[in-house]
Amino acid sequence: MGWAGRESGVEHDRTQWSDDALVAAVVAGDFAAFNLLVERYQRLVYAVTRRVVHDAALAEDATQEAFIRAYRALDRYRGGNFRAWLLRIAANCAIDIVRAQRQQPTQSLDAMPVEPTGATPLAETAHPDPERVVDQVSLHSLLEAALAQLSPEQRLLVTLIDIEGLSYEEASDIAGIPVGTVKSRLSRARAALRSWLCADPARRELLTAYVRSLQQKEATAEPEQS
Amino acid sequence: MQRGWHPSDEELAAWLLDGAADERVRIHAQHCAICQQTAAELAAIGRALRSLPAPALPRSFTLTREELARLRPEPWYRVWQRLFRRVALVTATAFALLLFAGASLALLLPPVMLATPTAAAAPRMLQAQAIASSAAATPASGPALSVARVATVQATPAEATFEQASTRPDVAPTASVTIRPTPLLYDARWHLSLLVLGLASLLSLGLSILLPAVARRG
Repeated sequence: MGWAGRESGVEHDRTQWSDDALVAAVVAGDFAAFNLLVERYQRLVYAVTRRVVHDAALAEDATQEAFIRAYRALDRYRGGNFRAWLLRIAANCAIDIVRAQRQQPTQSLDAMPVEPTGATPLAETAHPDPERVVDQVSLHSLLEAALAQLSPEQRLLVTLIDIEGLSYEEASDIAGIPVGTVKSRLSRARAALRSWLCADPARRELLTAYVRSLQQKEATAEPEQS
Repeated sequence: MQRGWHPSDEELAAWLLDGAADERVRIHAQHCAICQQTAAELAAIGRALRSLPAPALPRSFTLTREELARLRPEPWYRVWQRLFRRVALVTATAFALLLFAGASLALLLPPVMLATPTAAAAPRMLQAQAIASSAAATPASGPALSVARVATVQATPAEATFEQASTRPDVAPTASVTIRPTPLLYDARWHLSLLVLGLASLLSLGLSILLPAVARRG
């Protein structure tokens, strides 16, 4: 086996290392080990920042900034849950970017077009025909639009818990707030989502159709189980 | 319970979240069709959120080697660690070379023959000692001469031989002394050099190992 083969073999082995082992390697001077951590978490970090800032380009900046901040602060990482530590940095980066955008009146977040699917929010269509809207706009794009109505802090919690499936405890660690506050803020966010979805007949129709489809699925699943 | 009262969406969401909400919310939700519909919608929103596809990664966020080096400057102790490692390497090499050279020269150097004119009237023993002293005091420059210089001159009667260089009465006899160089192991400066180099090597090596741990702890 050549040198390149041996090197790639070593890299392959290191992908199996724990987060803390890779962090220790970086702190000891093996800077390249940090890229293994980046590869491991870049999708999650981007997904979180993308939903918090609600803009692809800004999310890219926030993700890169988060990894750079984490890399510089790696000496201060005291072990434990690296994912939560990294996501906390990413969340701070994303919220900082949102606040900076809000301070620029010409580019406020509220005025930004809803991404990522390119679908037009139902309330903004010229002639909101529910049947047509249901056909054209998926529930996913509607939810993306609904998420944009939440505050960045609420979006963060909805993203972490509802979308990424993290525990309340981990979300509490990332957001830097008690678990009780996480739950109350999440309840408020879900209520706000429903409120926004029900504020428009077309959106409400779509939500009702989705609820009905879920109930039908459950009804068909129950006899199979019994 | 108040007639016409319904819990807020937030209260219903909290009830769905962990089921540990206000008792009256739980009781009301079990019997109110409107609230059941609201709860179903809230639960459906939760399920729909879970099924949202992850956004596609626009690019890789790995950092280049140059970025990694630039963004994370070496800690102060690493410069010193590198310096100590080099000192340890140099001193250890010098130590080994000195040891090897000294031992080799001591073993391989041939005996030195010195001839010095002597006064005819001097006793033989005094002449031999004078020759030995002059041999020991001869300035040296280089390892071979150093070996000769540091060699203990064996100016004993058994080894010192006197020859008559000329039979003529007006010419003084010549003294010839065989000096055997002894190993450097008996030379104090050689010992001192080895000691200094050895200690420097060990100290540098120890500091290069301990420094990062001490710095991190500090």
